[in-house]
Amino acid sequence: MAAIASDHGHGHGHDEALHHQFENMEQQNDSYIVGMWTFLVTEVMFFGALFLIYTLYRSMYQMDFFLAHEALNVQMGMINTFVLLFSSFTVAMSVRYAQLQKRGGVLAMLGITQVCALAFMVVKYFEYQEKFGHHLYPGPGFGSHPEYLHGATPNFAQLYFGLYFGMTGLHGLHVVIGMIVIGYLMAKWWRNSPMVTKDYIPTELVGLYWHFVDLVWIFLFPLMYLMPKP
Amino acid sequence: MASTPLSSDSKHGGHSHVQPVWLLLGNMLWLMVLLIITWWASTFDFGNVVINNVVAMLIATIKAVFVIWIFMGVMHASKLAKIWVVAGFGFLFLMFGILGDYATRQFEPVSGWETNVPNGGASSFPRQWPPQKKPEQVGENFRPRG
Repeated sequence: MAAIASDHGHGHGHDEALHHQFENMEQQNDSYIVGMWTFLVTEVMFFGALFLIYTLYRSMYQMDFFLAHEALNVQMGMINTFVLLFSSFTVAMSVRYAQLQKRGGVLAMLGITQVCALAFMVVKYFEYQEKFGHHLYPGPGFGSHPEYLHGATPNFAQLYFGLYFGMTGLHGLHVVIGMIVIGYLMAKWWRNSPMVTKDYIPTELVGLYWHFVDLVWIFLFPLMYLMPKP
Repeated sequence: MASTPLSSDSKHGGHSHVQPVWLLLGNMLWLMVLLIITWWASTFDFGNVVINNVVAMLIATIKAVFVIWIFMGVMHASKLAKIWVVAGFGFLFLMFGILGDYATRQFEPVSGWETNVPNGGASSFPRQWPPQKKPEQVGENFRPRG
């Protein structure tokens, strides 16, 4: 702590991005990062509860979940995973450019991320459209075309598709929120707002959120699309 | 505006460690290789369904660690941030302990406890409010309340 006290007034205090309640940029940045991770931990628990429900019901109805999952399109899931992994890279690059204060680089990388997010949602749209066409959405009409159930018991297949739509839908909602936040961040960079140009932290925090979205998908993809035969 | 660079102090202090391009690019390519391994592993039978599931989740966890450690910059984060990240996933692990309860539920209902108790043995607390008057229950251990 002595180091922090002695640092104060040696240039740190004059940093434009430093807010008055912090000793120096190091402490301020650390507070932001820990704060963002606190939010992400609540998100981990939020999705974690759904993964818990999934684990429980899949262990109870292994064969039915396996048969029902055969309705999913693995190629589309693979494409979406590649797209999200690539977008995680472009977001990490945008944070790098923000640290180096290269506005063009930040805007280009965030722009590519937006294209990836849009591509992800378009693929998701086609997947959902197909499932709705096959009457695989939970509700009174579920399984009215039994040929798409691949032999699974309708009630348990409905449980699987309830979890599928619930979990991938919530993940998709996070992608849409990410697109809105990244759009706002891009607008700030576009207008040369000192909020983002003088301090790389806003770009870093948005990046952390986007990586979390990628993280959820890393688990959703094998659990929903690539089940081993029981 | 952006023409005045950040002070060198803020650029190198705290978490503003600038990650090299080769590390970010390499991490992405490595994650894509792991994704292909994930797909390959799903088509391969390692012996039984439990091992197949463990392998799938192990690969996913390795991918997650690389995203968190490199892309999310936890590698260069402060000790406070690191311990909070680990604690966060620790909470998740603890929550999965609930499955232990479900795994041991086969003991319920314990024989002798299914009948002869008010509310069919389900709960001693009425679920409806105001409580519905239960039909008269007959049983050797039944004792009317009040």
